Amino acid sequence: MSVKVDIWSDIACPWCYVGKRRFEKALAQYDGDVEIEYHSFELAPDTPVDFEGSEVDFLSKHKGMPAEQTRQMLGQMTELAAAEGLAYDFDALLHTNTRLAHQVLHLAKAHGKQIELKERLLKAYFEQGHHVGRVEDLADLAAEVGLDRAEVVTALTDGTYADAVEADIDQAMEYGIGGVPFFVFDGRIGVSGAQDPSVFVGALQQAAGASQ
Amino acid sequence: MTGQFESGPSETGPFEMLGDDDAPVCEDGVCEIPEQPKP
Repeated sequence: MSVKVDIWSDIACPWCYVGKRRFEKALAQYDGDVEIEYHSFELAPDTPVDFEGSEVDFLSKHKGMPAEQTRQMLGQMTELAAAEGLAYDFDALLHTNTRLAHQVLHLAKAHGKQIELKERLLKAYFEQGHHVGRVEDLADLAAEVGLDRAEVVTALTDGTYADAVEADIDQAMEYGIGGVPFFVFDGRIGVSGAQDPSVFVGALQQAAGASQ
Repeated sequence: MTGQFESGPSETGPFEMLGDDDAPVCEDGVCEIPEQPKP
């Protein structure tokens, strides 16, 4: 029997990408069937679409830390990501509001392309300095994974999936999820954070064992 | 704030929690960075 894994995460979330890689390592070690569904979570919903400033500026403001300390922190995050094979580029990163990105992920889910688009958006944001907050930029990225560009533009302009994003966020609040990534296995086993792959393997095995 | 999951990996909230309590997360626009990179 397949194990359902629901994952709450954001795009503008460095640990979500690292956690995704660690979860993927676990999937490579697990030989059962797994169904994955990503859910929306906004870490900084008040962020403007076109944030004026660097990631250092944004985090310094949020954390109240000196810019140099923030730079060191980002350098350390870059090293941690590199250990997972990710090439974070915080100098190129364009900080933005991720609400529309979550909407297009819901559209992608409706077309069976959510996993592909999630990876594309994270890579675009953290490694390639792409803007992931504007309709036209998101439509370009969605088209790369096989979605119809015009359909994406229409859905984002009309807010077709705005309610679906809200529903995910409401569900997270109901569960008491305050940080991401957050993984739920078969609706009953929770794993918080970018855990070691062995934790995810254990959760998959436990969920599969209980469902047999 | 991690709400009902804050108390750890045992039977908490609607889920049985597994894993390290200190695994890194991003929360309220801020991400926890360990002091030293893990090997």
